[in-house]
Amino acid sequence: MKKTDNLQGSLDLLVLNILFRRPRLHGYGIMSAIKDISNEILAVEEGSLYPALHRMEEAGWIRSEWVTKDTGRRARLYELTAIGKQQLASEEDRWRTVTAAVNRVLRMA
Amino acid sequence: MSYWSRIANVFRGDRLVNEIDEEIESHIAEAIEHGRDPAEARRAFGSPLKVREQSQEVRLAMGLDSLCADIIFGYRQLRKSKVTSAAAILSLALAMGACLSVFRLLDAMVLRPLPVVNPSRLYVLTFPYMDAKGDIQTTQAFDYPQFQQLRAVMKPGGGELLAISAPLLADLTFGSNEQSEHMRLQFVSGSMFNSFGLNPALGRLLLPSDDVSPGNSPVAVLSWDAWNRRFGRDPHVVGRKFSFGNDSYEIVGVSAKGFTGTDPGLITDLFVPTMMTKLVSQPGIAWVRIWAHLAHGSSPEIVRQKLMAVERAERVERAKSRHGDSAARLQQYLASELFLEPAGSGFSEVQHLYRRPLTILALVVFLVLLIACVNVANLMVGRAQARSREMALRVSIGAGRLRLIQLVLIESALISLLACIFGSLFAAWAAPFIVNQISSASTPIAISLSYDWRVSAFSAALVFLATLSFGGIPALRLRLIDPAAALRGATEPVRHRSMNFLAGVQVAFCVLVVFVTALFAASFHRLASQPLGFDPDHLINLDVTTRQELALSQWEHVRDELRNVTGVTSAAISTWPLFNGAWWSEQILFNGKPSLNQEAYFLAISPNWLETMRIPLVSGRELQEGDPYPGSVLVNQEFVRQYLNGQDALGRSFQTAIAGKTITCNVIGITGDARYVDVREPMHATVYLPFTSPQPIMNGSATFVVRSADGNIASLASTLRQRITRAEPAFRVTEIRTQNELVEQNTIRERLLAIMSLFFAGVALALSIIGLYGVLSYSVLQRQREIGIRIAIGAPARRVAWSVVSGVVAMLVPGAIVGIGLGLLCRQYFGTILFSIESINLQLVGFTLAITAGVMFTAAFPAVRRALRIEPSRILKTE
Repeated sequence: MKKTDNLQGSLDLLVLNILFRRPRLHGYGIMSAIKDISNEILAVEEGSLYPALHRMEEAGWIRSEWVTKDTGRRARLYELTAIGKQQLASEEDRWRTVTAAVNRVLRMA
Repeated sequence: MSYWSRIANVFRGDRLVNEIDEEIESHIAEAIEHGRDPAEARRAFGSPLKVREQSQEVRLAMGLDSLCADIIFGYRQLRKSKVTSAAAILSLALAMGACLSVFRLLDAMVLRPLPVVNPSRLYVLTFPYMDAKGDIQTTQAFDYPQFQQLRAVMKPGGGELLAISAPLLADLTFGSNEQSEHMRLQFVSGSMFNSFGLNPALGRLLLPSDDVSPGNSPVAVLSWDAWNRRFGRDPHVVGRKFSFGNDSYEIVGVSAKGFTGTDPGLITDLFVPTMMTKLVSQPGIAWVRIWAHLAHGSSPEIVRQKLMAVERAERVERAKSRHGDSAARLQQYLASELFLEPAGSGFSEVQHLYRRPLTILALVVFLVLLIACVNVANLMVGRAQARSREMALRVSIGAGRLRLIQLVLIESALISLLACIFGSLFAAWAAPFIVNQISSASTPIAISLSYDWRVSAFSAALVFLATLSFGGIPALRLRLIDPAAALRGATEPVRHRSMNFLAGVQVAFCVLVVFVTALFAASFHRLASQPLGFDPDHLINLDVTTRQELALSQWEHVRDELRNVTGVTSAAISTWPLFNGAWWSEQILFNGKPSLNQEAYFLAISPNWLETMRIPLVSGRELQEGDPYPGSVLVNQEFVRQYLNGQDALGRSFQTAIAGKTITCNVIGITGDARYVDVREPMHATVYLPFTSPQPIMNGSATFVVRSADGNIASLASTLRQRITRAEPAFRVTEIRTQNELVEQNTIRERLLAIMSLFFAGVALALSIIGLYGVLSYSVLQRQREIGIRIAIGAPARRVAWSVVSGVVAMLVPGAIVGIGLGLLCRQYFGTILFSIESINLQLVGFTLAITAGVMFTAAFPAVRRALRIEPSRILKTE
């Protein structure tokens, strides 16, 4: 199956959801998590992931922290904020509404 | 919060970029650890630059970031050509500084409202009167009984009438300290502070109860400025005593900062209740100004009519005891018109004198600023031309036009901001300097030149205006950039026309400034070369007052003592020095009837006065010791011409009323004409009476006039002062001034205008030379090839030169015409400030054009020479 580009607006939902379940992940971890859980159907492009992360941090949904790993390299870990949890809930609602609508259209057509 | 963090991020741009880069690197390292191919991992990431930019955008206030970038870029552009940038900034700074200085003076003297409640409801009562020459003048001086009558008719709640004297220079002593000092003092109504809504900084202010009966409340309020300057803000100043006249006063309080009296141009030190002067009970001695502070809803016109009715009734009453007035004079008196003049910005002699000159100076410096702006505009147009490829490149890689306009405007804004900063420094020095120039011993001028929001707002407006004026054209021309053409290397056809137009505008302004300067310089020259009728060199005037009434012999004793001082050639006594601003005029009656509408000047003199002043005796004899008063008088030739039609005057007699007493005068001698108060007026009929003691007017004070042998007046002055008090301890010297000081001070306003405008005309000419030079050199540089070809095919030098200057000349001629036309219009406005300059003066027009043409030729010369020296072979080869 052809790798679909992430659906319009679903990237935020995916990232928030991953961070809700597994707090303190770095960018690469988020990317691999999405890939693993979706059985490699969904792939987030690096080029869109980081601007999205920075945008969400700027909006206050997530916060970040620099940690030094065993290898000596610094990595930036992200986790959800309280606002981010609310945002996740509303994004999930929106997603359900949209997918339900799409499913209805597919059934009726 | 996020907006602030974005603004903050602008100023830590590097850290932000590093963080983003590090995160990307960390991601790639992670990917490699998980077994991905390094090259593939990097490729998957796409352009890190793009990621960085996208991330940056969400984290920065983008507008601010680009603004910062543009400011840094603009600053680098300025540094790239240091000399031209410095020249542009400095010339602009000079012009802006001049504008700021004049604005600060104009604001302090004319515009700034008094710091009182409802300044727009403040009025001063004025009325027309007939002066000694029979001309109608306007005055604000009333006597106190008049004020009381007018005050009585004001309705409660409709507003208030306040009596406030002009600030006078008072001699007073603090405590037991015998050293007297000069302080500026105003007599004010007790209700003034309350009506003006002023608060005390210390103690209390004057109250209506301080101003009820004459001489009963010897209290004074100190102004904040005097408290600060004289007492170093001593908190114990309340309760201090000082003596002034025959009274001992107590300081009861200090008024709050800001209020410096009602007279712009003077700073009042002390406020004293009107009731403390003896003048309050004397009708006929006009000394007080009447201020009307009207309530909201109270119409000035209705108040005026009401006051006029009262005044008219009073004048009818007073006219009964006026004798010796001519019919016209009496009729004018009885008309008793009154006017309410708005005085929200205060009211003073200084303000009246300098309102128009300062406005004119403001116009001149504004023109200089425009000339400087035109120069910078030319510079900016030239630079924009040189950068057209850069701009085209920016457009073609996607820069928005607005962003480019911002880029260009910011460079201009930087120039004008820097210029404004330097200009403010210049103004901080220049404004007090000008005040010093116009301040003189007898009319000292003090202005609070505080740097307040009005000055800041004016500076901001200047920066804005300047930026638009020279950044606007290059910014607008950005619209015309055609990237394809510009990048191909086809330079856009140079717009000589816009540069030539600017040069024309510049010439028009320059001609205007030079013409106005020529007017002022010529006017001052004519004033300064008016014959005085006496010799002012080596003359010293010592004004004295006496503690008690002295006999004539005591006055003569002191005068003789002065005459014996080494270095003194002669000494005499007069009522006051000529040209000290005071005059004394009376109606002349022949056989008991007034002869002319105008009055003659009077002065009491001792024998030897004529000799001391070097006023010639035409016929008859001088006054001698023992000549009786009333009785013998001298008159000048103008008196003989006016009153006696030039007939022989010796032995003739006339009458006049001095201080209400009619005396008869016999003419025993005729003197040459000498000016008395003003060099602007024609010679005036003058009567010289013998000096007596007690004197009919100004009793107890007079002036010793001393002529010294050499010019060393400074050292002589202190010797003379000591000699006077040693000879007669009852005398006190209040002021020592040379006659030249007094005469010069009479034309100080014209001199100021002439000097200042000469200076600014110089600046304007220099700026125009630079501007024209720049325009012509630039055009020669652009047209090198064309000129080279012309020379190669044999064009004569004359034609080449003409082709260089023709475009500019085509603009200069209309510029000059417009400039002269504006100048002639201004001439109408200047009015009486100019002395005996007819309204269209061809000589001055010619002079102006010659100067400007000469200057323009100088400016064009290097460019023409450069054009003529072009070697066709070399130029064509390089092309």
